[in-house]
Amino acid sequence: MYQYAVFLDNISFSYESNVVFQNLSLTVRPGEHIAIVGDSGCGKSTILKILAGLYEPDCGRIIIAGESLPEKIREQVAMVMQHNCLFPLSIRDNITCGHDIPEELIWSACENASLTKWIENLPEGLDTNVGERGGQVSGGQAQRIQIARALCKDAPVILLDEPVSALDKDTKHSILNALNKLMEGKTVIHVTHHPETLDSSYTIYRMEGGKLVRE
Amino acid sequence: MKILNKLIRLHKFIFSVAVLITILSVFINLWWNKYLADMLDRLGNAKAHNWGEAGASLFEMVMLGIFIIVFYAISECLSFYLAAYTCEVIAHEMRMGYVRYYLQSNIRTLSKLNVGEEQSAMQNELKDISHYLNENLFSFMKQFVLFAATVVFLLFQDFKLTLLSTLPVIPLIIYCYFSGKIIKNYTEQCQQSKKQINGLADILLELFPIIQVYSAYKLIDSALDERLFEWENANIRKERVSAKLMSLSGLLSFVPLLLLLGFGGFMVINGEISIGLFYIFINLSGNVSGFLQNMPGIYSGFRRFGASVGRIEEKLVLK
Repeated sequence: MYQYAVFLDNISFSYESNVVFQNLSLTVRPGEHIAIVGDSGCGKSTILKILAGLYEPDCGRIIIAGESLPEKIREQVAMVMQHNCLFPLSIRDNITCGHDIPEELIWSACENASLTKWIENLPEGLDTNVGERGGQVSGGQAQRIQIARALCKDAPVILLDEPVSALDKDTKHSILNALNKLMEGKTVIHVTHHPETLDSSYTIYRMEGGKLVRE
Repeated sequence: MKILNKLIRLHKFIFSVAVLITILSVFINLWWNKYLADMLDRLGNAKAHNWGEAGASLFEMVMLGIFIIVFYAISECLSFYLAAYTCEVIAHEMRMGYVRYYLQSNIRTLSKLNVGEEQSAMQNELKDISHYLNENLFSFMKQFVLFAATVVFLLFQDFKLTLLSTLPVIPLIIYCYFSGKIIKNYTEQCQQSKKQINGLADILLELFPIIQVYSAYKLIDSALDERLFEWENANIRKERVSAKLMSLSGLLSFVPLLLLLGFGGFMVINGEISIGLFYIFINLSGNVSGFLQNMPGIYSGFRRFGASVGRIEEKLVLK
């Protein structure tokens, strides 16, 4: 078992000549929830992509759930993004991402994401196509599908990128409930503009001048 | 096709001039044929009667012939130039209309657009429409005017022979109309499949982080394969149906020429029409049968053009 679910040691990252941050360090224990807040363009989403193994830092060490190779890191994380990140395929394909996942596990994820009733009322059920850019489903349902996808993956680290910022107040509340189920017993890194959506379980870090400052 | 009317109305002066010159060129073409028929008859008469008397009038005929050729050459040159210029002006107006739509749209509308599909429309539909306008609009218009004017001209020359060579054309036109409709449906299916491929390719770029984090490579691979397969099938179906429908209409279009040769030749032998007049019918039958032979292609091209215009029509903001 690893001591830290997330271990960033003096990492630096730049887009060509534009330095985003230098010598940034962060440690997150298993099961801990942390939030990174800050202004637009300060590098919050870039950290999230590094944590997901999508970007490699220019220098420094990164270990996520005991793994340091990007392809292995990606196996340890699940992501819920702000925008409608759905494939123009069926709800089932969007949840399983083409992997063989038992039917009961899919339905259990749907239940936890509060999707079951809605799916049962659809004529084609799980095989309903969500349309181009999820055009056939509402913003709230699209986020729930993303949550069900993350639940099915059952990764130890959950990365959230403004998952409720594009939603109205009522939908936001029900999505936060579904997110809480996803976050149970997991390490969570939540990037947001809106600290008011975070509960007391979070340790909040502010991204300022390329440094993470604990609040 | 309202948009084409609107585009033409926006540039009605240059369009009208181009149409008039095209019509003028068609009439000069018919005049040239009539001239050749008269020449043929005069030569026949001169051979039968007196070469000396015919010599003086033949000189005038040759001068007239030169005048018609020069006049025809000028009108053709003007017709080609104006047609190309007008089509380019119309195509440019259409492209700018598409740009105006984006410039006038609010950010909410723009953010809902699928970049892949918009690019597909820009690259495929606009290109198809510009190509159609430049290559076909005036060419088809000229063929149609030539066809209509030739039929009227021939009716004045010999009513019975004209009816014999053109009446079988009516069922062919009806056939072309319905086959064109079928081809249009298949063309639209093809465009829809292509649109889906482009849309998916665009979404892939946007969802690449999700594909990587969730290892959704196989899913995307099979989805892309499925869409490619649909597109391939839609293309094969369209080409197969077009080939069948168009080859039959091509075969049927030879019927009027066969009737003309049979009945016309019989009338010449019986002395009902002169050899010059028969020459006119043979020479100009190409204007009628050629147009009809090309009609399925013209019609399916026009349908394809209509389908392309239909896809982008709502996104054209004209002045």
